[in-house]
Amino acid sequence: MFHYINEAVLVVIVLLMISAVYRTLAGPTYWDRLLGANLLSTKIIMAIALYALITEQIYFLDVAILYGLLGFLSTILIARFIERKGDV
Amino acid sequence: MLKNERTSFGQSLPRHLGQFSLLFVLWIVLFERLDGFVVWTGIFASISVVLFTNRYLLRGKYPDYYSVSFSFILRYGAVLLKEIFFAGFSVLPKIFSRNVDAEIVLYTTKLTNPLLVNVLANSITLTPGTVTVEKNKSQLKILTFANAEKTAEDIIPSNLERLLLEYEQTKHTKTGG
Amino acid sequence: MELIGNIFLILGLFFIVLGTYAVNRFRNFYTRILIASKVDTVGFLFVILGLIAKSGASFFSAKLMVILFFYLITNPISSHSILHSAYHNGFRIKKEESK
Repeated sequence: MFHYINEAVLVVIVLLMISAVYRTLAGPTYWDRLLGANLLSTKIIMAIALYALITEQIYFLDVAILYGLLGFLSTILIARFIERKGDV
Repeated sequence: MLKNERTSFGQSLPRHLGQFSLLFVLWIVLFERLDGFVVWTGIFASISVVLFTNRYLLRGKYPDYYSVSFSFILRYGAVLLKEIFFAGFSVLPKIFSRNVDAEIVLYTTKLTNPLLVNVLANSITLTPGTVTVEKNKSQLKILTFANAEKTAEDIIPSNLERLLLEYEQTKHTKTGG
Repeated sequence: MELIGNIFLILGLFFIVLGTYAVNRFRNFYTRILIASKVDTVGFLFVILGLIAKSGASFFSAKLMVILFFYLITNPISSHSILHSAYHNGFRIKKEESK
């Protein structure tokens, strides 16, 4: 019953990513778009971790760590950029 | 605040050992193997990073402000995880209810140490259903769901704050105020 | 251990699906950020803990723990900075209009 559970969870997360992308493209304000991008980066980290478990390649986790740090940095920089109206 | 008061090497040795072991474990985990090459380069890199950072990058008496004991981190993390799980389940009915509003609540903690107030603010953000908007000394502005029956004390994870208060008192007695 | 990991994975997926549903359902930014990123935190926690339980004691789970540690530190800061930016640009809190 639980044979393909990793693959199934991966597929569902990828489908949910489409919803996060929709929020990023359609959100009425800037901050909705930022929130969508933040959700997308969280889901990408999870998807990379699942893919690393499925293929049994540890080095994908390095990519996940890097992606998390870069997503964090970009979110904070863009939020500050908007808050100060163009002055970081 | 940024005076160049340097403690002697013997005094700062335990702190350096803590930083060294943290960096060394991270190095080994990132390399995914445990042989001679990794261990020796890890020891060399960690020692040089710790010495360089303490010598050139950090000035002043920062350990008095930014040191937290390891056992406290473990205890606090366990309580925090439990709190996140339960708060996550309590947010679920809000998703399906119809009229949900947000409001801002002011809350003043009894904590005075800036680092510990920051830890409390981050924990509030991490527990589902509440996000810290602003911090001014000991006063926190918290965004939460509008709910007439709840007061500000119900929203704060109170056992986390109690743990932080206990820790602040022991820290004060240890460093003499 | 395998069974615990599977249960955690499904529980985490449940939270993430609900969070994504909530993001697209609410019409107000503030209720959206309250529910969305928070439910997502719990989902992330459950998924990573499930993966740790599935892979057992190895370097794989040690690296997953590093990811979890970074995430728990950085996630509140990023959602706080989004909210701070919105609040200070005069984006006032409105009532959720009922559909």
